[in-house]
Amino acid sequence: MISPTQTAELDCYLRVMAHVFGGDTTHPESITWDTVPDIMPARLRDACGDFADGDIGDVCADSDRNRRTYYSFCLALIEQILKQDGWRLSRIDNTRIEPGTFGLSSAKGMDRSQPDTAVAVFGPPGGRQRLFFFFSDQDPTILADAAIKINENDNDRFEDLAVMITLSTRDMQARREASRSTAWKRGLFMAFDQLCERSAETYPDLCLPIENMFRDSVLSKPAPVEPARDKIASFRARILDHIVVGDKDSPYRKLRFEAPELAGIVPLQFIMSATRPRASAGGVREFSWQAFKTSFRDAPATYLKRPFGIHRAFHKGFPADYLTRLRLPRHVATILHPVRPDTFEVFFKVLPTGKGTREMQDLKKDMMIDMIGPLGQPFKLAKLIDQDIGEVHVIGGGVGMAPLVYLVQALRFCSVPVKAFIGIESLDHLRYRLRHEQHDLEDEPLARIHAAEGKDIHIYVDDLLQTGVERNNIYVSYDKTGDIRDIVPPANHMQGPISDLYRRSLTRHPFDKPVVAFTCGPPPMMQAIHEITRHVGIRLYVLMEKRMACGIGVCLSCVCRTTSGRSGYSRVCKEGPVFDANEIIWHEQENSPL
Amino acid sequence: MNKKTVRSELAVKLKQVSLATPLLTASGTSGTSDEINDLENSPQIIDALGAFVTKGVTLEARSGNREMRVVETRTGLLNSIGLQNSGAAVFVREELPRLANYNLPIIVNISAGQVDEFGRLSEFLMEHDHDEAIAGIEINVSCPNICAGGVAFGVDPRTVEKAVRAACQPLRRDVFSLTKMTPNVTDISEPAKGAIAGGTDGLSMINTLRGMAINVHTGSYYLGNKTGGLSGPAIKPVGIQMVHECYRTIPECRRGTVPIIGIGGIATWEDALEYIMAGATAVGIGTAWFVNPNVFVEIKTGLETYCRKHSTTITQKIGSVHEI
Ligand SMILES: Cc1cc2nc3c(=O)[nH]c(=O)nc-3n(C[C@H](O)[C@H](O)[C@H](O)COP(=O)(O)OP(=O)(O)OC[C@H]3O[C@@H](n4cnc5c(N)ncnc54)[C@H](O)[C@@H]3O)c2cc1C
Ligand SMILES: Cc1cc2nc3c(=O)[nH]c(=O)nc-3n(C[C@H](O)[C@H](O)[C@H](O)COP(=O)(O)O)c2cc1C
Ligand code: FES
Repeated sequence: MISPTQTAELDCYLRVMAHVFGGDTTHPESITWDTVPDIMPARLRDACGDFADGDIGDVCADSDRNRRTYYSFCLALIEQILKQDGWRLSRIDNTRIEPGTFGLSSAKGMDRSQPDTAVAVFGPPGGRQRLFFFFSDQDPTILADAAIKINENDNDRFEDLAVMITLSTRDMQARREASRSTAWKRGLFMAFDQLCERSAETYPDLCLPIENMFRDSVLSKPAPVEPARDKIASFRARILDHIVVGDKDSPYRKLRFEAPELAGIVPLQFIMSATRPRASAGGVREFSWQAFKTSFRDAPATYLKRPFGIHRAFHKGFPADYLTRLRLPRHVATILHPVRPDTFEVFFKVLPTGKGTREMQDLKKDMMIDMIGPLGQPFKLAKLIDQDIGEVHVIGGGVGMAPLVYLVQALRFCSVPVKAFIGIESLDHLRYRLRHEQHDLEDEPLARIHAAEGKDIHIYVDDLLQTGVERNNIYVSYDKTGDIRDIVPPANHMQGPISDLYRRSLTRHPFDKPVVAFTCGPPPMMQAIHEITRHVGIRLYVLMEKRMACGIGVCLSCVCRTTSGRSGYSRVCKEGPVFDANEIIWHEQENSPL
Repeated sequence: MNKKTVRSELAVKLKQVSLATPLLTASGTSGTSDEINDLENSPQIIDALGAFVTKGVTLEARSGNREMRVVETRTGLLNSIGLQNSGAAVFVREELPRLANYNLPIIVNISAGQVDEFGRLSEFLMEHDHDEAIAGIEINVSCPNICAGGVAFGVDPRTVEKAVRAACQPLRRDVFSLTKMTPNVTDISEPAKGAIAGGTDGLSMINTLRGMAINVHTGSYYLGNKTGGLSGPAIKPVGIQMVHECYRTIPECRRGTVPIIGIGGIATWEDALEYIMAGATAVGIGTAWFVNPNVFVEIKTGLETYCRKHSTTITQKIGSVHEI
């Protein structure tokens, strides 16, 4: 005989499955014992025998109830995950969920009178931040309205957040589209399959089978065709701003551009960009001496695109410094997604003998530039964060710090503690000022403040502060002294190589929890960092830079000697640009001037 | 094998194989397996292609040349990749099956250091191509980056003839052969005649021109290998002339029994048509596609528009400049 609790649980599984499988189209009658036991926790399997096939269909006939059960099921999973971060379920609207089903005993006795669309509210211990969960199959306009209302009440405090739970990752991707995110400003997204996957770690008995079921069925069902976002796109980006960073002789530039095509780019992936607007195509033209002369003088010196890392990414509705206020529970954060970014920045250095980067000095607002991306292997950040690391170190030399800032942005989203080590020639190179007359400051609240107060901005330092890294976790080393006092604490800066500063900062090891480091810069610097991390047991990832022609893995010009690559070489543009430092055959890296 | 049987103004024939379009990838510029599938517009790219030519395959794996393998020059690219590849065994086992996904005729570019090695390589490919995925081979007698002594043996008509004969001998009946000619010669028609005597079904021209670049800021060579092969728009007029020369002086080319694949510096549909008018039946595009991943699609559209506007076909335009 099965107990009443068991009956209720079985009932719940059947309904969730009916909802996930069926939606409105298929018939719950088709669900039989052949499929059901797959999703049952082991402890319930024996009890299944008491149900006959016919009963199952009966149980699932009420699709409205199935849906509500699915909602409560999701919330139960979320509750399980959040518990690990010490968050608790503080209020629930019972009109939308099914009371009495498993996992939601806490819902009992809640106020049933508020017909809110907000389904559940969670709060951290002692904190004020709350997450409101919505489900994607509810009326989309109600959801958008609710999210907007939350925003309005909250201003830019980021204490209340709307989270939409979608039935599948694909569904979520479609809703996260940059173009659609205006209706769901500042909202976050979560997909049911990812939720199951995450819960499986805390609640294996409950979720693993569901995850498998989901993989095999729902995800493989033909869904509305959505362009696969991680494929490499070739597109034209609009330049939004070109900012000179540093004093007037500084070679550093920041280029801000609009490219919804890069919405799916993962930190540390890169793009290849033309260095001038595309010349009109054409064959041989009729000869004119004048044209011949100008064509020689103006003949473009560059032919290939140039590789650049992404320095920062911007989301509509999310101000640039939102991470300083957003405190997400870490265990949920890895499966939470903000709206897709559509605006990006690259930070680059004009090389004294560089043909392409010198051309790029002439890029201006509203020019359209050919680009391809996202390029390179997407680094599996979620996997890294799952490993419960204590902290992440990023060590960047010169422009090498630029892509690491975007990485930090992502790490901070998941509340990972970060220490940043910046190696530069002179701080004067990194100081700049934005003026309202010249630049669009809308996305730069800090820049707005700085400009109003007539203060300088420091690239990297202020960017990192904007992502919520604390000032005393930012370290700077430089070749030439400059005015550095008030930017980072005195103990955090020194003259000399960045590797010395890094070594000096690692006083406390062994570490309680694993530490992971990322570095990007000149190869000798990265090798020196590897020497250090090797000795103290820090796992190090390096971003390699090699000359590229195609960027898509077909020409074999960007190869790097590794232990993992075929014929002893890996393509930086395809297998890279991120490599485990232990894979790199350092003594065979040719330090020929690039 | 070709599963597309499109009848259109763009269709051309290479021996018994009909190609949906006259556009081919140039060897070494389109990857070792199915990299194109990682591009968002891969369906359009594959649709624009008439055949896929692989990276150069050698009997044994080669790790290629030392670093600094490419340097950009004005409107061109110098490369010294050095035929990095995993060798024929890995090619047939891992790469070929994935290339078959393109659903295009696959032409395998083969390279060797000696005449009899061409024979063994060709034989190996035939023996291991169980699914008969290979539609043709392209015998590279011209790679400037690997040959001992620095002289590619593609310059000597007699050696070319022997290499081609060795490579063609083991081929299945339905597999055609192309010979990739080097432009680093005084008269291209001489080695071309050698290749025809050796039994080639078609000619591909041109491979890269030998070149060098010196970095004046450091005072040393740019390329690790010092010299490399020049490709890109810079070499197009050379390629046009050589295709023209072969078409003009070799009767088999003129009659169309030995078709020419025109390669070198093609970046627009006009460039492609220029080669066709000079005598090419199809064209290969390499370097341009590093710069513009849409190049195949753009060229296909351009040629289509041209043909419709002038009520003509590519086949009618082959060698049309010679009629004047
Ligand atoms: C994955 C990746 C990410 C990068 N991210 C950034 C970035 O965020 N900011 C930044 O300032 N620079 C970055 N670089 C380096 C940047 O690509 C070069 O500084 C730039 O290509 C120089 O071009 P140029 O025409 O001015 O130099 P030239 O010397 O005139 O260029 C000649 C050729 O060499 C190549 N080349 C020259 N220097 C380098 C180099 N250091 N690395 C790779 N190729 C080079 C060029 O691309 C070009 O093909 C990155 C490189 C790679 C591979
Ligand atoms: C990076 C690179 C690699 C190449 N590898 C090969 C090769 O393996 N075998 C071959 O026959 N030709 C090879 N080539 C030559 C091209 O196939 C082509 O003949 C040449 O680049 C001229 O065409 P393009 O100007 O359109 O690039 C290579 C060219 C480049 C740029
Ligand atoms: S740049 Fe062509 S393979 Fe990497």
